[in-house]
Amino acid sequence: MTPTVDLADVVHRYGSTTALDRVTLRLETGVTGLLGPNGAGKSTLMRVLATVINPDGGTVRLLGRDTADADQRTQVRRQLGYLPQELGFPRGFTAFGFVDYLALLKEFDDRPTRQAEVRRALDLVGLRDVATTRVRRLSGGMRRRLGLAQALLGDPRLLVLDEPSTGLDPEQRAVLRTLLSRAAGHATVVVSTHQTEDVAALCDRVVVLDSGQVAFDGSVADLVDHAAGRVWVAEHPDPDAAAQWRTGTGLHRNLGTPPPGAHLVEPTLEDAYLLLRNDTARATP
Amino acid sequence: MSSWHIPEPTLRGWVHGRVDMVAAASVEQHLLGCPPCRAQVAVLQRSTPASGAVDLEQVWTAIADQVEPQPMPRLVRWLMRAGMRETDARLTSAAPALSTAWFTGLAVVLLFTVVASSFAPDRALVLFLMVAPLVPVAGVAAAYGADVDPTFELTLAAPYPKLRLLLLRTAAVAAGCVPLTVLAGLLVAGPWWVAVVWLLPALALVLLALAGSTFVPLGWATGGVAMAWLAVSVAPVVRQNPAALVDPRLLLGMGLLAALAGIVLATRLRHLATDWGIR
Repeated sequence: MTPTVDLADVVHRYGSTTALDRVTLRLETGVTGLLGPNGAGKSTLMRVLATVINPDGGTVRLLGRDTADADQRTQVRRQLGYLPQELGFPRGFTAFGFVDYLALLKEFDDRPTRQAEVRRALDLVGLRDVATTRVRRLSGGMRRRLGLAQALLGDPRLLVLDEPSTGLDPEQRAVLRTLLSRAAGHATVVVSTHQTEDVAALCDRVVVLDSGQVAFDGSVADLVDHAAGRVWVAEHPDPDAAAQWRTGTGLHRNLGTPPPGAHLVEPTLEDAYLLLRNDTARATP
Repeated sequence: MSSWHIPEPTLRGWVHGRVDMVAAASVEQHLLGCPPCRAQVAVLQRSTPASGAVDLEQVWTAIADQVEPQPMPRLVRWLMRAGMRETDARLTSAAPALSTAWFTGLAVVLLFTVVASSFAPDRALVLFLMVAPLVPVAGVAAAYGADVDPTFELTLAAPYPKLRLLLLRTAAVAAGCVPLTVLAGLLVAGPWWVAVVWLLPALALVLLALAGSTFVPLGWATGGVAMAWLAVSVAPVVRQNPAALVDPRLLLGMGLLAALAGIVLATRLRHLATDWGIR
């Protein structure tokens, strides 16, 4: 089966900084979480997947089409939904007007069809009731959902969402997960996030980027396994731990080698991610 | 497998997407382990309203259209009257350079020039001849690009042709600001032809900026073109010599530049393999 996303040795630079360094990825239907520290290249990779930037090297095939070719790229864009990390809103637009404007850019030319699709998208994110409210009057969480609504227009086959849960409260994040898991039944959803709990709850697969390179690519369970036998709870912090913090119970969670008197606990995805980051940093000369 | 099954109205609501998120999650959870309910879903999905039956979805959409009419902005109506189709008119009208604020700012600048001309005619005239060709260039710069359009990232990821959007907005901005500037030119103290003589340099500068935008971002192209024109105009302005900016040799040069930029633009558009450069 042709993968929805097929990247081979993708390189992108900003001046002398290499943002993506020979990234090779093949993604199919389902939700893939993209994790990594700030500056790891996540947003650059998302912009490549959204056909916003042309990488300096390598090949990008999305939905079976080569994005280096203008016609094929346009075909990809017809089946693409994109939520950038930072989304601006034109002055004076209502929630409906904003999504309607994006629907025009997505070539919904027929007015009744377009307006029905805009209503559907606003319904999906629970913003139908504020359709006629000016965007500047909406809360940060509502604006993020509005951004998500425009990404869902046309039920795209490839959804590229850069930090979609930013600014959402727990209830809204649960709705987001429901939405994305539904979309993942027939689409490839790539979610860049700092929220490991979102990845654990939602994603079939996780990719960790570090310094522009793929540091991990596999299932969430595989990444969690990476931390098996390395997460300890003790009464005291371990100064040699890869990471440690005091939990709500008053005990200290230590990642790495066991401090005296510690007992082993089940790792979470966050533990595994932190340990992976620590291991990668140590391996880097 | 459970002996309980989802009531048909609920299942029908789920099929038509009319149940809330919580109910939908429950339905989906049940469907995962209940083949009879899944079979019922297939039946409901296949069924279509019988001839003469009322399609509730259609009725609801029609009601929603009436209850939530989306007003068409005045500018969109004007652009449609000028021959644009609705899609183009709406996308063009979103340009910041077509906002009331932009035109108000332009009107204030031109009004200031007109008023100043009654106190210091030569200085105002040369300032007008320097500024007027930059008005459409500024309009183009404020019509498209990452610096002025908050949805620009989404515009780049959308299938609508970027070049079409840029050219439509350029035409609309020119149609708005050129008459205003010509009117100011007529009011500035000086011969009548001052009101139109700047159009040739303006055309050259706009075409140069558009041609440049196929190589570098539009903001860079318009900025570079504006700087070049200011460099040409600075000496006449300092010497308060308006004649230098209407010198036939300068105008001939601008005409040649306009033709050259037009050829480059047309060639680039015809042979541009990708639209990565239109940004």
